[in-house]
Amino acid sequence: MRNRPVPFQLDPARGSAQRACDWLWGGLVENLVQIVGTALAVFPVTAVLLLLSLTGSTFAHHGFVSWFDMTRSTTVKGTVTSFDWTNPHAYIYLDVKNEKGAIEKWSAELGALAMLTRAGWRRDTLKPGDQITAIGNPAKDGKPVMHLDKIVFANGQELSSAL
Amino acid sequence: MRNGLIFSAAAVAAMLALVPATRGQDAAHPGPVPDISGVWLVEKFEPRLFPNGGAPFTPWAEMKFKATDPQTNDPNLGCLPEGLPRFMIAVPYPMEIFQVPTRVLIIHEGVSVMRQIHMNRQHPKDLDPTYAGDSIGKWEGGTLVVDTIGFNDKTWLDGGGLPHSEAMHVVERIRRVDHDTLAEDFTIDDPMAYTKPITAQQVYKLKPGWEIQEFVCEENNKYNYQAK
Repeated sequence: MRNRPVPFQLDPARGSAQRACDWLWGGLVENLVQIVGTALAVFPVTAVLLLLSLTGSTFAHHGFVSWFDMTRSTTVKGTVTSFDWTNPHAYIYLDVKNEKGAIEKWSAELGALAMLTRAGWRRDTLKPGDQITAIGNPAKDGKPVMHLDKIVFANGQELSSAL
Repeated sequence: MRNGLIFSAAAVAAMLALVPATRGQDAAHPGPVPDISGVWLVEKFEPRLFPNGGAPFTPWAEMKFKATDPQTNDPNLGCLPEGLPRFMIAVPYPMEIFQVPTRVLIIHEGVSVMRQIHMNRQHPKDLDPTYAGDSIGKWEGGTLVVDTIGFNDKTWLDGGGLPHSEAMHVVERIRRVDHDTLAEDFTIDDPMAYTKPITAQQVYKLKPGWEIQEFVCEENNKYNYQAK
């Protein structure tokens, strides 16, 4: 475990300016919610899609709103190298081949074990070598880290990190 | 902290074993009281009390707030307890409520805190400041009114960094709206930090069949906590 990349390293450069951006984003998101709410009354299909895209963001307790861009989604396909079935968060570590053929070391943060268990996850849900697609919210700082929304197994079966 | 939780769980089990027949009654006012026991989960998780800003800070609190950063110095990043009112309002994990004659007990899954609401006494004098404070409760009809003081100032009110002082006074009004729903109104009064009381609401949904599980935050915590 010690040799793995730590998903979150404190960056001293992220200070009050970054925080100000977070708050600004919070305000924008609130306004968007109102506008989108009006639109939803007209487009029920949009409502369903939006609800689907918003699930999976409820279980992490550790400041995920400030680390991850909850307004964006990212998808990576790769090979599981390890699966930390641990509190306060579970982690999936993935080797992902980029367009140049190089391996990128990704990690995906999940919620607490109790909530994951209620959502259908088990300690042996993933093992090294499994081919999966991970979908989640990317880190704001561009690092290969995500807040997991769901995984798709090689056979097409999906498992959400939310209930 | 782990030993504390284990001890707390053992204490709850012991108390429940001693008084199974009187569950749901208030010792001071014999007779049935509302049953709010069960496993409950917040209906909607919003980490911030003021997502659009606008908290009525005093200059002292505004200065403290400017020094907070949810990415680096949220006490919860270091696995310290969220404290009241945060763990009742802004934590997306379930809690179980137990009722015994002298107390309403809350075990929260997300933090290593067992909360005791004393139904048969007043606040002790000269309280040592703690994360959860000292809670006393009484029934007003169908509403459990909980009064809490004796806080330390090491917690935030929410996940957004709202500070408070040791002078904070929290009043909660908890009522079962229907079989599956618990509604709670909070009034947070802290004249040192806020120019007027802050009010908030939370709704909890009953989770039949759920059991509170172990949660050891220190196990694999990758977030760095930079204490001020």
